[in-house]
Amino acid sequence: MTEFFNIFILYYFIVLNTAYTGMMIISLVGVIGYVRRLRLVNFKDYFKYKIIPPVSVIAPAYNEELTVAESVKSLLMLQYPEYELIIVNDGSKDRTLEVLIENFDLHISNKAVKLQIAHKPIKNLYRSKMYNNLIVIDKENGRKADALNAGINCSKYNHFCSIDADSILEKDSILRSMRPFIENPDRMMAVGGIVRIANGCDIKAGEVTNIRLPNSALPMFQVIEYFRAFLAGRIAFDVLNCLLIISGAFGVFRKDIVLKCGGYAHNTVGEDMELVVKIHKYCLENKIPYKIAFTPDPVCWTEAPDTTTILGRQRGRWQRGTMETLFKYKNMIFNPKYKIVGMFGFPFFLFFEMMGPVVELTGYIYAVVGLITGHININFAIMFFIVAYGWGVILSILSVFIEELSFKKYPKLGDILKIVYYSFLENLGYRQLTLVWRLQGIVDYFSNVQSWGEMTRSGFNKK
Amino acid sequence: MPVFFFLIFFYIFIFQKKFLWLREQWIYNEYYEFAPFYIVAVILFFLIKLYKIKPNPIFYNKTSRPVSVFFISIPLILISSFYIHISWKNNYNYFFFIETIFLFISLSIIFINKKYFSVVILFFLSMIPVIPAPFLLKVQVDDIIDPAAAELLKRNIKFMSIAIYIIVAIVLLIFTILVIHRKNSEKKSKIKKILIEKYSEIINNYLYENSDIDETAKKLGDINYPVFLMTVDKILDLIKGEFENKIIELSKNAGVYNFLITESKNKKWWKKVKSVYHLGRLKYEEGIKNGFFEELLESNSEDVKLAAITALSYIDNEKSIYMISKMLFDTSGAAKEKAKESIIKFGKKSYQTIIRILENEKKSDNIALLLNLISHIKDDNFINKIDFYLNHSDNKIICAAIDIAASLEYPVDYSLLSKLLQSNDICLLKTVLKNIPYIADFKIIGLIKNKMEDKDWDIRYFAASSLYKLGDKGRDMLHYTINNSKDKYAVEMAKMVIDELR
Repeated sequence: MTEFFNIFILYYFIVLNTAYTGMMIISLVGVIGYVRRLRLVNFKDYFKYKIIPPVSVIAPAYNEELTVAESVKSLLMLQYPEYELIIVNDGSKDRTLEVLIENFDLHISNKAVKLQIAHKPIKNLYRSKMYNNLIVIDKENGRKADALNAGINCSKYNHFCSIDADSILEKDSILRSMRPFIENPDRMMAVGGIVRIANGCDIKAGEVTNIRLPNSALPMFQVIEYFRAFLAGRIAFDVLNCLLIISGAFGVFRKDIVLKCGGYAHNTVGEDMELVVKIHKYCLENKIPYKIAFTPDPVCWTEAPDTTTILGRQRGRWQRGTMETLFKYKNMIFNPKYKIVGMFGFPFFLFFEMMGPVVELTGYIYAVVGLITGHININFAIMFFIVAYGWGVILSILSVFIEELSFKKYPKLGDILKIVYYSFLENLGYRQLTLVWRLQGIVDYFSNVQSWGEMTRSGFNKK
Repeated sequence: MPVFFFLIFFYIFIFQKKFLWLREQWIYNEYYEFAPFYIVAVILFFLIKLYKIKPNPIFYNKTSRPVSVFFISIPLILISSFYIHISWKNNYNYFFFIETIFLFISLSIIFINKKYFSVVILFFLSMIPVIPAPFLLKVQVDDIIDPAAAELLKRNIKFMSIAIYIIVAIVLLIFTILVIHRKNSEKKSKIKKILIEKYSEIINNYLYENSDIDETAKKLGDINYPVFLMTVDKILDLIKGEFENKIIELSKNAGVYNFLITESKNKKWWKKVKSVYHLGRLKYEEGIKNGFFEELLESNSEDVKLAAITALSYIDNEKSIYMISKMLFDTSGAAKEKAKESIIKFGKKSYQTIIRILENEKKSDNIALLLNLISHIKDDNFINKIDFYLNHSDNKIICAAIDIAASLEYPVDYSLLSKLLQSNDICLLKTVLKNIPYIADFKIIGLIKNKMEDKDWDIRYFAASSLYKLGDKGRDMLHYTINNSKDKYAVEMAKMVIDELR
């Protein structure tokens, strides 16, 4: 029994890390090709010849009074030929709506909402006297998915971009994320952009003016995690054509296909993943040629949680969202009908993303208990720990390497060294802590907990 | 949390010998073979149970609850009772172990919230089955390690030590490459900056002070072609006409064409693609005559095809337009889109070529595509042909023709519009209604007012916004709808459109 368990943990560890290393290598190759192709794209032409479709930018806001005005100002300055900005106040309990009314001279407008997908009732629809393209929807609270559905119903254009109201988009990010739609208009269903950590950066008038690393450890660890998730994971899934997540903080979708899929699901906290999986399912079942892409150049800056309480809730929620989607579409797992999505994407998430925290945490506890009870040889355990730690560090540094070869957002050598230094620290405590949070997400899923948990922001202007 | 873990290590350290005794029981006693798994399961259960009491992550904030006597009293009572019991049996090892566990639990409770107390007690009770009992000492097996297992362990340790060496080497390697790469790229960008400044100055002198071409080529010296091309690319974005031709001449003279042609034969796709792009920027017209671009357009690589189309779009002559137009029906979706984009960029220059293709085209999808391009090109000459397409039997073609009519502001016949507005094809109806303000006058109001009561939201919206855009009479009709219509959706839409377009 002991031997069997030891071998299971060892093999799981080897398979998991080999899979991640493989994904890293695919990403490395993918990102180099991507950057080389990108150099030949002339974004100015998109503007000049108006060959780019208009977009509705939808930003749900819930209790965002601290950041909403700044974010909306930044969103109104996007470099894009034609777009409307829809802010959905999802029944905020604070002064979000009042702040918007005061800052943008809003007046109540008549609403004739196109009811295509269900959502909680809209109380009022506001238009700005200062900005023609700004619409604010004030509705009853129904969570993010509900707010996005209301925004979709009120949107004019066939492409919409869903973002978090507390995030900051780089000026050309929508232009860049629409590029795949121009190059492949018939097949492209959704495009995700990269989310980066804004903590530590200088932000003026809703724009990141000086890119710097966070000053505290917790956001620093998240910088590395985001590198791994976006620059390694998502690029590889994109290359393999089985991208299962487009971050809720920033993604562009084709409205007609989203409507056919029934919009965002209300009964999940992982509505972003659920929608993407639903699009995969719909297109594959109806034999529609399609592509869901990830583009690493359009950047969305977000404020990372800097306390363990909020970070823990966020990670628990992400884990719960992943589990909800995986279980909801369990018939896709190892189903050849769903091609690479069913045969690789889903199993990968099931075995590594969903089961990972359980196996890894069990492994850690077992290692401690096994050492105490004498069932694990201490020399072997120490060596195994060093290998596991080292492999984790390799994966982190590789993701920094991908960033270095591609976008080099952090200009100083000191920044890179600091990230590498934190890559060494990350595997000594932080990683184990995230495992506990993710395990809690799993418990929540099985306990049927539906809460989002409070997400407190300090606000970008606190400096 | 640090105090919590400190206590564990402290007690392990203090009672090392007792734990060794305990460890022996676990290792060599068959009864305890499953002990570690049992303990792991209990710990996991314990963590989940703790979390479920307070559905927030555990170990967040320090608890400020004062320690009540109640917390410590129960463990102390238990310790005392065990102490009396075990002392009576004279088994001190067992006593020490029990005492350690109890002491640890009671002290750690100080740092754990009161609500977790029951779980902690439950945890202790669950651990009882794996606490070695004195009577089991009798069935202890011999202290012998299986030789095969010992050999396997040896091998595994050797394997792990090799793995450690490899990992350390990889970490060092990646780190070194990372630092060298960053240092190199900083150095390269400095050199690049200096070279760009140098080339820009030389080219400026050549353009504005009419320096001699050969002399300028000499001044450029041993050219760094990639940097030179980068400089030229930036300059070409800003200048046109005579200056553009002068730069092309200079590039030819400086051997840039030869460099690019050699590079275009490179097996690395990105080098090939880049050189093809630059050949286009430097208007390599020879490439059209000698079949260079034609070959690239037939390439299996989509990247190469795209680069060739981009290059041809810079060359900008009749032949290049024709070659790009042929790509409108290519099997590659991206090539098709790039060709469309290039044709739109050419504008009216491409009109004749498109018309020639259109006249010979039979497939309705392709005709609609070409008409769509003409709507972007906006050439008035198409007015002579537009009626033919407006009266076509295929709705897709009619839609594209309506778009052209709107882009040229060509007034469409009233009776034809009336017929089109009766159509059941939603797409066609939407296209007509959307474009009405540009292809009809206020007389059409009578025909579109009913559409305000249509069941389709888009049709109501386009009808209302067209009414608004048709001027005062249209707006009067919207106000009339608001005041008199019994259809609440029509009223709502009229109000919304007035608000939106005001």
